Amino acid sequence: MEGSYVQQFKKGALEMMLLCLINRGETYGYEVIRQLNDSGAAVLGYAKEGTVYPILYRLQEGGLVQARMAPSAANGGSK
Amino acid sequence: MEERYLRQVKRALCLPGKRKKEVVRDLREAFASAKENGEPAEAVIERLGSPEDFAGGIHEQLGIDAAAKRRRRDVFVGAMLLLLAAAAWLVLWLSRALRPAENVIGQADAMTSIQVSGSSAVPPLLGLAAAVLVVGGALLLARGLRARRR
Repeated sequence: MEGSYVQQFKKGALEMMLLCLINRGETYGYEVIRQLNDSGAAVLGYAKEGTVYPILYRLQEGGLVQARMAPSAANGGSK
Repeated sequence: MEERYLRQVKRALCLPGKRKKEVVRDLREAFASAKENGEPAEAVIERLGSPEDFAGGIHEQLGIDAAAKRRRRDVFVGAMLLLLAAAAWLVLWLSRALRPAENVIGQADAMTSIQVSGSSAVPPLLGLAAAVLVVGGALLLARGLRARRR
């Protein structure tokens, strides 16, 4: 089991990548995870909903990311 | 499978009602998207982690101390129940104390058909309810006040 520091670091890196991906354009949960895994986030460990969703909520709380409801439930556009 | 998971997450989450609904809505969406891509609910649950882990992850990211919140709630509800029990016992005591005296009507020359009595079923029921409230309230209070294990 990796240390807490490494875990935190990975979460931080994941956060950056999320912001970067969302900045490119509006997306939704499932898609952003697929993008993460496709663009080599596997280096940090396979990105999964369990880790990504909480981070997205924190970003939303901090105002760095905005969510809206759309017919196909789009989520996450950068400010 | 999905509904059960969602219910468990809802229970494990320590957030205001509106936020809880949003999280559950987002999860439903994740399941729906996965389904569109041919993935079963089990696969998504695998990636989400256990309901407790998932909720814990959200609490951690949002800086919420769920355990502390639960303890505070237990203390509050426990105290309220004890107060209710005290109120019930007060009513009980008053009803007994204010019961009419045995000879309130006085002596009559002949048998009368006037009866004066207090209510019959209420006192035992009230007593039982009060006892239940005391036990429940005390248990909750104790659980809430228990010191956090280091």
